[in-house]
Amino acid sequence: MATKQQIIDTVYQDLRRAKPHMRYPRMLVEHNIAKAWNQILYDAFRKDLSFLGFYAKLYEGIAVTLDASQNVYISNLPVAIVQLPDKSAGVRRISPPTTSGLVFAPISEDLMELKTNLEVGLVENNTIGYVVRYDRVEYDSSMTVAIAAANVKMSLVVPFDVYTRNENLPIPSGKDKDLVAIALQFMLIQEQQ
Amino acid sequence: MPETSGLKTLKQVVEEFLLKLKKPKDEYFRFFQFAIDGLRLLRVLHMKGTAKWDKQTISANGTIAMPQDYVSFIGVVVIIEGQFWYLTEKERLAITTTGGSIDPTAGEGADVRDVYYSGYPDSGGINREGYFKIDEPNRRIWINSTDRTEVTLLYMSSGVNLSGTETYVPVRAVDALHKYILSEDAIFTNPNMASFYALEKTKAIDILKYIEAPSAIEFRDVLYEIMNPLALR
Repeated sequence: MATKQQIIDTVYQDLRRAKPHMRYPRMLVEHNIAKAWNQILYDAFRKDLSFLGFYAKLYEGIAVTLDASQNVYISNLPVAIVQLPDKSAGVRRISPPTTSGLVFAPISEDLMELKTNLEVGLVENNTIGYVVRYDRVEYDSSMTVAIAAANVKMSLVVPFDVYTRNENLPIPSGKDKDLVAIALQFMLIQEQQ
Repeated sequence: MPETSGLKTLKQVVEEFLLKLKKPKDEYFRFFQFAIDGLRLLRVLHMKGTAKWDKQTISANGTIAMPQDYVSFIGVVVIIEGQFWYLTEKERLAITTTGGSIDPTAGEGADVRDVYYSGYPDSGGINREGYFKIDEPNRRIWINSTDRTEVTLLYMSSGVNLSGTETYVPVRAVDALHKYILSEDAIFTNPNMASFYALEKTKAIDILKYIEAPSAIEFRDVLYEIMNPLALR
């Protein structure tokens, strides 16, 4: 495992070695590493997203508020998330602050609408469905005032930018070299264009 | 040493299914809907001891209401000496032809028990406790020719409680329910595998029916019940 700063330095050094006469803004390098990070996560887990829990960061005490204009309970995401190819996207888990029988399950926007009239919506309201949007999470009609008041915690798969410089990046095993290579590839493709 | 429970909640059944199938939670509600349908089917067709009864006062109109969880009919009964006595269904009962209350002047709702003549020409087979006719579109059952003010409706309920009350599934039915969900999922999303899973479902239901089947002692009791010590001719 390496810190975010170590990864940036490695890519920067490799670039200078490959193209000694070129100068690369650090912002641009970081942006391309971020793209490479998303690519690595997607490639490593698109077949089985259940292993993503290891790469998720836990955020606690996230407020659940009522969006009066939409009449729906929501939580604003505390940080940006990685977009992943399932309904959870980068929100791998939502749970109540303390252990209880309450479960949260990701659902599609269509199901959110249908569930109110479906039998399953009438029978099972101890599991709260949620729809993930790029900046917030919306909860279905099973969310109550009492549950909302207790707040929730979330496990989020976050993009490269969200990590602090000295934070260790959980790079998927065997993908360290790929991360640097893909980042360099992105840089060089831009250069050719 | 304590053992695991003989009942599971429907929620547990669905969660176990997700675990076994290695599916993410985003399939939870879809599989829960299949589980509701499956449990209802198993209860109505393959499980025993799942009937419910509802004692009701006959209305002034001569009807009893179908409960909200009514799925299918078993019988209308009265109790005589500790056992249920079944009323007889009579399709020819003239109930209301206007959809509202009965019109006695048109002969609607008249008791049919009494015969016109009393003597040797009378046919037998009269149910002295009464008759009924099912009026499913109006969710009611018409009762006729009974002296009782109350009767008991035996029916199959959906077996699935609305939220707030847990729905329990006997452990013996869980495998059949899991195979039902697999089979239905395949029909809708993976038709190539539908036949295979349908076969697995049938096998699991056969096992359930085997468990539910009457015991040898029950068969013996039935034989004893219809025999008497008189000489056979």
